[in-house]
Amino acid sequence: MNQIGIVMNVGFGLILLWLLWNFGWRPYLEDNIRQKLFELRNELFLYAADGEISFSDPAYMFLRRRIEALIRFAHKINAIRLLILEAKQSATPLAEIERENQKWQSSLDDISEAAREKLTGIHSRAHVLVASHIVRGSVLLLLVSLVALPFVAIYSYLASHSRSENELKVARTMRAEKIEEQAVVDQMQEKATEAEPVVVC
Amino acid sequence: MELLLRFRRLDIVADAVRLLIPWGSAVAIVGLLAFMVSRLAGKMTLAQIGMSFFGDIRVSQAVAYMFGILGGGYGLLERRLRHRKTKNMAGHMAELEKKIDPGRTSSGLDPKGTTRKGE
Repeated sequence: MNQIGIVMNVGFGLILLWLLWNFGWRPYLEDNIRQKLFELRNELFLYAADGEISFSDPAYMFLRRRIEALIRFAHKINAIRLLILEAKQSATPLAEIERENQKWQSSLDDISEAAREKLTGIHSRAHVLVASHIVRGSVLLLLVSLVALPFVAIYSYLASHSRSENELKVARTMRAEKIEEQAVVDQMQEKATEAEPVVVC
Repeated sequence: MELLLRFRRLDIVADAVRLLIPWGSAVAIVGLLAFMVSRLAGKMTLAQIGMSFFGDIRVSQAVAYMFGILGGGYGLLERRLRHRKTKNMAGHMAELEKKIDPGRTSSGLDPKGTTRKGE
């Protein structure tokens, strides 16, 4: 193969990869996280339908709204946004966000131990989904995680950590809740500006 | 209100960077190719460059390209089918859930379960 042929082939291959990443992989990730969040919302709904918690309980409504905020704004979840949020909010923490989080905590105090465990479990799993989505949506993070995977597996085996424990640890380290907070603010903004949204799902 | 404005500003910056990365990489790929081709300008005609690309493709490479392109197309069709199915199912599901929980809230997505147009 001559030199120009090689260049053209590599270029064509790069263009195909670019198309696959931007029009195949990224939209897939978006649908994937939404589907998984819908599953979490369904789990929460069924838990309430079984009578374990009331549909009008503040903790139920709070968590449902938070999951819906993440579903709604899944297309905006990415590593760059997390970095910007982290940099901005570390400099000037928002009192409103703190108040919202305190409300969530106090609503959890008013429910049974079992319900609290269930709801916090669902909430943590939503954070794990966000963290996993962020890693898989970034070429750099994806490569780093692929390289780190065998080491993490060995460490987990030696330290007897379960997969879900590790995932939760990563989500906490990445501070995935920052993304959730922005999704909630976006949801508030939408409610403030829109009178009648067209919604089904 | 101040909170919303602050987040809106962050939103704009994050959106700009999010767009810059993929489209910047597309420009870089095309620019690199254009640069390579321009280095050969005068030495080869466009027709020769085209011939050297298509002429050098082996059958195995052509099959690999076809496999990739058709696989991508198949994926897109499957995705469209899934969205149509979601559109059919989501309405029924929401109605049933509303019978159990009249105060049921919604995710705010469009009926296909995707981001609303214009966002």
